[in-house]
Amino acid sequence: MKRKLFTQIRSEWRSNLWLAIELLLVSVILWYIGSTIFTRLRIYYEPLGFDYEHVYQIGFSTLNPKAPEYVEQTDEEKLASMQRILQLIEARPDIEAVAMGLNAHMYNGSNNGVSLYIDSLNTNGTFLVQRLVTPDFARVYRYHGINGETPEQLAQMLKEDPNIFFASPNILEHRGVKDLTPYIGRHFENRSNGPRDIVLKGILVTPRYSDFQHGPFSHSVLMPAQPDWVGWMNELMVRVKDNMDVDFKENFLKFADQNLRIGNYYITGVTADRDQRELFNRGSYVQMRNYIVAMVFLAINVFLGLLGTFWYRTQQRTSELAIRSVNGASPSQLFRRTINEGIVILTLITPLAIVGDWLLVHYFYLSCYEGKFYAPQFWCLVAIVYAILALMILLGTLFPALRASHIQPALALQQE
Amino acid sequence: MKNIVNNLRQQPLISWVSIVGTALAIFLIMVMVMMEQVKYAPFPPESNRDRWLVAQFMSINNDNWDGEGGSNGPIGYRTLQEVYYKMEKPEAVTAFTSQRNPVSLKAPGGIPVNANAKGTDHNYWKVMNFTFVTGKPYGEEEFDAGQTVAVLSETTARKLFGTTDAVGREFTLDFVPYRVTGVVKDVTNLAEFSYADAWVPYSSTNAINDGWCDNIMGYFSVIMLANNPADFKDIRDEFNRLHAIYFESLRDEGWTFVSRDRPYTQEVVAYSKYANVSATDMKSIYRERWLTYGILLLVPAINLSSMTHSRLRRQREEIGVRRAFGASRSSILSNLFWESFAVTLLGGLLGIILAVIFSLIGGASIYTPGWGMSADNTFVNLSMILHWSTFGWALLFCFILNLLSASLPAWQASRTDIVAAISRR
Repeated sequence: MKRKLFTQIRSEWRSNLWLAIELLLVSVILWYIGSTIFTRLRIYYEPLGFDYEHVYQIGFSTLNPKAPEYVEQTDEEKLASMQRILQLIEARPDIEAVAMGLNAHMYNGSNNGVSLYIDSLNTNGTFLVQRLVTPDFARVYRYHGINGETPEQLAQMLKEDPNIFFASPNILEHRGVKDLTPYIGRHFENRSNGPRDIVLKGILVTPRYSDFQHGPFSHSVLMPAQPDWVGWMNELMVRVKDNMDVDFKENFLKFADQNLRIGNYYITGVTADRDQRELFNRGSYVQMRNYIVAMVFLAINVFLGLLGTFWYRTQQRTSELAIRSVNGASPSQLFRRTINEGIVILTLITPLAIVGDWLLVHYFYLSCYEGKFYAPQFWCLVAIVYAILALMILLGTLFPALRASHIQPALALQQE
Repeated sequence: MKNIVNNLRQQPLISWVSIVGTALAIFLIMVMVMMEQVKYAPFPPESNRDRWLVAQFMSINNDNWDGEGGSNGPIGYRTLQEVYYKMEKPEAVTAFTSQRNPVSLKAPGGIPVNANAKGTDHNYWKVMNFTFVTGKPYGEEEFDAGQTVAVLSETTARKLFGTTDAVGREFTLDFVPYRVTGVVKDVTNLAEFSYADAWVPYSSTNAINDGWCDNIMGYFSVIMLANNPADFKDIRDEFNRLHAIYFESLRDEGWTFVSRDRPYTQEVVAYSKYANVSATDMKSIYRERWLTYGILLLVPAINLSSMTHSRLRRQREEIGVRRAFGASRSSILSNLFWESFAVTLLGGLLGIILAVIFSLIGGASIYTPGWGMSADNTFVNLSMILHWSTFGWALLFCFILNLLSASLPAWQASRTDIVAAISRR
């Protein structure tokens, strides 16, 4: 029976060749798309290194001289106004921590870079994000050190000494330094904003730059701003105590309207980091969606291709099927024979598809995601793609196969 | 045509499979084409995109900065004065605030309305093509005087005053009193440089003085409108010449200009969103785009080819008879190809109709605005997604699809042996 099936496939080789080419092409593309989605999801679910939940950005601005309420202020008065605003916010019962930063908040596409030098090494050659912030930034985003330092401990150390900094473990990785621990306590030369001579106090659990970027892409340092810098820093953020941010935005804006119009400062709005995260990741979400649409499109094509081809094939084989039926083949045997033809072709092309997938890994995939490739996903995805295509073959040949299994032999042969 | 209709009727299921397969391929490709075109093809109020050269950002360095520093971002007012407003080659030059600027608007006795404001100069209204519902834009005189006047979108005017008939009415924008000079139709935030809820002269805001790096850097983007795209080279030459003079005057302070090959056309700007890197290599974008189109065409083409092959086998006798009556191979080939093309066009037409409906209904879930903009103000209309070139692309893709799917089976069928075909051997 199986030998006859192969003979049958061979006799229709021209048509089956098209089918095989299509299945091969779709199989490799589906594997590639599936593999990309899998890798991205794997990265997405890695620890972020910070906690954005219950964090809000407080927008603020200063009055234009054209505003009737505008007042002339010295730099000291401006600083005092902002410090008063920070105190009032901190005193709210729902606020856990308040911080200011310079292009520093998470999910922010506009950052400051920094160049650090030590011995013969420097951090140039990779974009090192400088988070120049007030100490409680560590509490707002719940940063942790790799040696178990808590957000509170990090904030305390930043408060006690403005000439220290914390770094992600990878800032000198591109210079061959895999372990930054020996550099803790050593003096770095800072050639950007902030103190020139600065000591590495500890190493952070890497705060990732985005949900879709691998940790090692996220090079950053946390540096304390001098207390009098809050007069010109451009970001204000708060952590609301867990379970106390129901209607926080509305409540805070009412509070701001009544209490935070100080000097020329006023509050312009409140944005949850959760919403900011959605905006930041939207491009990646859209890309994922497009990949899935492409997968569905290809699967539908396989279905349509199979349906069309086997519909014709069943018509062409009416007499053959009738003879089989006369010779004792049951409807279920005829049904299985039609279905099996597609499955056999899929099975035959699968080794070739695996070669294609393997070539993709070696010549393309290993250049992405820092060359990291998760080996178990290879065979898992081969199996998943096989299953998807088998399902499409089943669906595509179902209708023609049912038709074949219900042929009336006498009628069919008479027509022939 | 009769032949085509007969063939379609004889095999209704296969006809549908062919048409649906074609429609699906063209639908998906056309949605992709429309998504690309929205980024750079002209539509109101950005009707002149094809004549734009855009300097969204600038980059500078300083001899006193160590390491690989540099400042990259929007342009400062000082640079506007020293370079852009001195340009003579463009038909018009407009500067406007680059970043999204959330503000609070309030009509007397009303409740505060959150909005996005854009500071512009008076030339902005020449470069853009807004539709005014009432009133008119602010002019040179109001801009130069830094008057607190504003143009509002229809929706914003309604939120503030309950009507679009708001010319002359007053409101406060972040505590500063403003007067409405005009109301325009709402703008989608897919039009990145024209989208806002309220437009005001930037001379009435803090943007002029709030720059950094000695006000070389600041808050502005610039569009240079050419009379004709052929003038782009002259404009770029003038741009570079004026920058050279400007930075020569800044040499003592250590400032140096980093060109990054700016300014860019709208198409390049659409793909070059980072201030600190040079323009995206468009060749790689095109390569990726055509690879995707290729896959989206090739897979259905193989399907259709397989089906066409089977269909033509059923028509062997008919082809044999036609050949016996003197039809040449080339005429048979041509007939079969164009018959197939007509069916492809039918599927293609269905595909493009589906793409348009899908785009209009899907809106914000399909078309994504620039970085940091919420989907709340994303909408799509026909003028944005339908251009003559859209139909040209659709026709081209149908032709390619047909070429890929019908050529080989038609060629094989045209070589049918007459005797064998008629005797059904």
